[in-house]
Amino acid sequence: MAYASNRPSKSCIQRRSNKIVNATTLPFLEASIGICLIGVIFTSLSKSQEKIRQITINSSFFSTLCCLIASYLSFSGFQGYLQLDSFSAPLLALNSILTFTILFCTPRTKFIGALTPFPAILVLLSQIWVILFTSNTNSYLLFALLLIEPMIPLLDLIRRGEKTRVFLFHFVPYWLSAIVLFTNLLPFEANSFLIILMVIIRTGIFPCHAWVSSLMNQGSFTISLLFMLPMPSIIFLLFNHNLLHENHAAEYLSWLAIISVIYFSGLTLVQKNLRDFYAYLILAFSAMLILGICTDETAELTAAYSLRNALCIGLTGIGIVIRSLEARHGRLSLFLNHGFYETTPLLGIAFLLCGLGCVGFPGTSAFISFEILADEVIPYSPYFGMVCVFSEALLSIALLMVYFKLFCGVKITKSEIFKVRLREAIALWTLIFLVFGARFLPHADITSSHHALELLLKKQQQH
Amino acid sequence: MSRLETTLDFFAAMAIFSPLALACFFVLAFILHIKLPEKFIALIVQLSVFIALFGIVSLGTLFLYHKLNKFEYEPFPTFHLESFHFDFQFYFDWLSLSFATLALSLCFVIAFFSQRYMHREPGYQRFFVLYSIFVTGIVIASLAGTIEALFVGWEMVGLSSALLVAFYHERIMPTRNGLHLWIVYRISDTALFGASYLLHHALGEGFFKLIIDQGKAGLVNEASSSILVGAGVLIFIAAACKSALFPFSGWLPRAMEGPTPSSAIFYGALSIHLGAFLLLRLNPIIQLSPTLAWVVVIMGLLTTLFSGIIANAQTDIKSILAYATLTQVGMIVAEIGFGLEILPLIHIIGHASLRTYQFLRAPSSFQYYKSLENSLGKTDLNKNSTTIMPNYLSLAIYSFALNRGGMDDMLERFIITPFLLIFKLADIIEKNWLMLLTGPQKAASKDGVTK
Repeated sequence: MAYASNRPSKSCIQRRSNKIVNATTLPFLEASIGICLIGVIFTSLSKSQEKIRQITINSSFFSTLCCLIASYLSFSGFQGYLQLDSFSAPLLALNSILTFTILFCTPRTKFIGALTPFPAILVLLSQIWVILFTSNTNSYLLFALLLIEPMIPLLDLIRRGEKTRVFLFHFVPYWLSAIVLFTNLLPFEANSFLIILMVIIRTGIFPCHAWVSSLMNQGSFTISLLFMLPMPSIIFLLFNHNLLHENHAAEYLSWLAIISVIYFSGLTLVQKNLRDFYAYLILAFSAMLILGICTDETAELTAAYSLRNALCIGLTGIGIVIRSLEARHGRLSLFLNHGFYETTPLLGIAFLLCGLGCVGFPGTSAFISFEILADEVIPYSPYFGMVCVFSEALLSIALLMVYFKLFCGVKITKSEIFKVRLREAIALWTLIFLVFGARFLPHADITSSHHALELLLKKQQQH
Repeated sequence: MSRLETTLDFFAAMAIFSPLALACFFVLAFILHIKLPEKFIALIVQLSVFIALFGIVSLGTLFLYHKLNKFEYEPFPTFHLESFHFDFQFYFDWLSLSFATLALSLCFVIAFFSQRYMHREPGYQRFFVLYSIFVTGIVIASLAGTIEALFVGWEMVGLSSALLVAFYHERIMPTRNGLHLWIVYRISDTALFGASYLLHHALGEGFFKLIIDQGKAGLVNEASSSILVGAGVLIFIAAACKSALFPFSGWLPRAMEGPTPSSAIFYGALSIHLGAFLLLRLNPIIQLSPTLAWVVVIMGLLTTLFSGIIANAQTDIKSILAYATLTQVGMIVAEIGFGLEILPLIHIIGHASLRTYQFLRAPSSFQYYKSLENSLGKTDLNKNSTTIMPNYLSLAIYSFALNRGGMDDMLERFIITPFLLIFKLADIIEKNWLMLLTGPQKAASKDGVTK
């Protein structure tokens, strides 16, 4: 009898299950944006840099948590007001984790005692932008978000007192194209070309790439990372794939992309400034993704999409390593060897593994994606596929060369000051886990991406 | 599934997954900064390689007992995405079993040798991390039943070799040499990828098995010979880079910067023969074109001739051994070019074992010579050597050999420098363009990086 009395009654179970349902229908996605907005308000009101640091990291953490819950719940069929689908849910989860990881391991010295205050508000705004962009499926909203995004690095450059000429030289035509599109000044056929022009500028395809290197060198490195790494133009093109196949736009874009791939891969080999190297590395990989998107094969689009995710992880890892090294030693050149492995071995390991993750080394998440991309590009044009493989080889050579330059070649004495902090270690372990562990057999990931893309393309055809 | 098949699967899994598990464990411990005791590292390395070796030997025994010729092992299901497929299979026949047995036996010996040789070395754990990746790579490459599996093993061997050459990374020369090796290996990877693409599009899914199973006769009916010859050329380039054949042999003496156990096993015994193994495996494609087969023979013999001359003028024991190794590898490649199958395999096994022994004796070669001189009662063993050549000719050949044929210089002068020059010029144009856009003051501030 005692046992029976301890059992919950039917009405109690009903109430509990109602509670669970209520919890799952909470608008987590909206909450994640709200948390960041509250963080922005508190950060702007706060005077102490330590407080700003705490508010920024905490609000980013809770926002990311909400995003992860929202993504998880979307698979279970529970949605808030903003809707997530099988394409946007994993994208949102990954991007929010990456944004938080970048912020989480920002060295304390960037906040306290830095010559230029850390752009905490802009970072949180970037996070809001990422959430909105990755959780949206409406083409018009995506387009509008793409238009306002360059304001963040522009504000950062102005805040730092740097010249904005290079940035504006590229982004004024970008905004002008958008105005022309909205006002319908040109015939309908020209619209796809204008959008392609915007994509070229935003991605940094040759010859519209000078702003990337300039931004990396003059702007805040964290803002540059948050601006470059989500690679939003790739996602935008996936959502508006039909635009590419009007008036041979895809053909022209693929030629520009292939030139960019080989050109930027070659440039990574001769860079003497670490940030320039990183800028060209991102550009080369972005161009490779654009090449993958120029086809109308779903398999290749899947490859480009999953490669984009893998590259975002790998490039974030490399970016974090570069930022951590620069926080310790200042801007670094690649003229001489530095031998940082002795003092910061984890940074060396992370640089190498994330680099291997980017070039599709076996066992990494990019491996199969890259195989599919190269294999599927080849029927499109055999030269394109071989150029992709050759460029990948050049990039892997450049990555190992930079690894040796940064971490080897000189014997330096160990020092506790340079030791890797726990936050940095956690962030890098997370990224290495994502590069290798989480996707050791990435078949499931690719199959689900393929399924999501098929649904997306069907929707596009219906519209 | 019959009982025999289950047993074969079990031993195949032992051979493949034992080194793989070791590599995963070491990489994980290395990333998480878990410092493992030396004795523990040595013990699990020896245990893991022994399990793999036991698996392979057991398979060989089962092959003999049941008179089997081949066995396919598929640990993972084939991944299909529209027209793309990713097939990770292993193929056991006498060729793959012999090479895998050789590889694991030598790795087992080196595991014991390294325990003492690397004792108290600061990079002890790092050495065994790279060693485990290498063992995994060589096992996968030698047992590969599909091009995808071969590619995985091929790349793992390449990366671990490059990082082992740069093992003493606090010095600049090992890192330069490691990078040199990596460049050559990447050329090899690119060529192999190109070949696999051509073969895939010419012969369709499962071409690797088709080549192994049906040989030259099966290929003639399947695809146009021009594509297959193109693939054969790319396979030969991939093998030439991996086996340091002429004119890619410059990396071999550079690879001797690494620790002696790695030089012994990787560049003296296994890595260097992996290219020859690839040629042996895909020999039907090479034999499709008599011209290509003759090219293989000539390149093999040229390698033998060049390295034979160069070896005589080297001044350090590891370089002498490296070039001596090449003389035999060149001969093995020539044998493969002639269409032989059993002889090159026996040659590979015998040669790899001998070189491993010689490389392992290299650090104590002074001691060895001292005991030899004491036994013979002479101090200069080469004193009575005479030359039949005129002085000027022997000097010219000596100078040529001392400069290692100038092959590295030629490759650098005619290929690498012009290639980099294009991008250096492009970089200058980029910088000027940026300066034009930014204005001179901002561009100058970019030079504020520490040099």
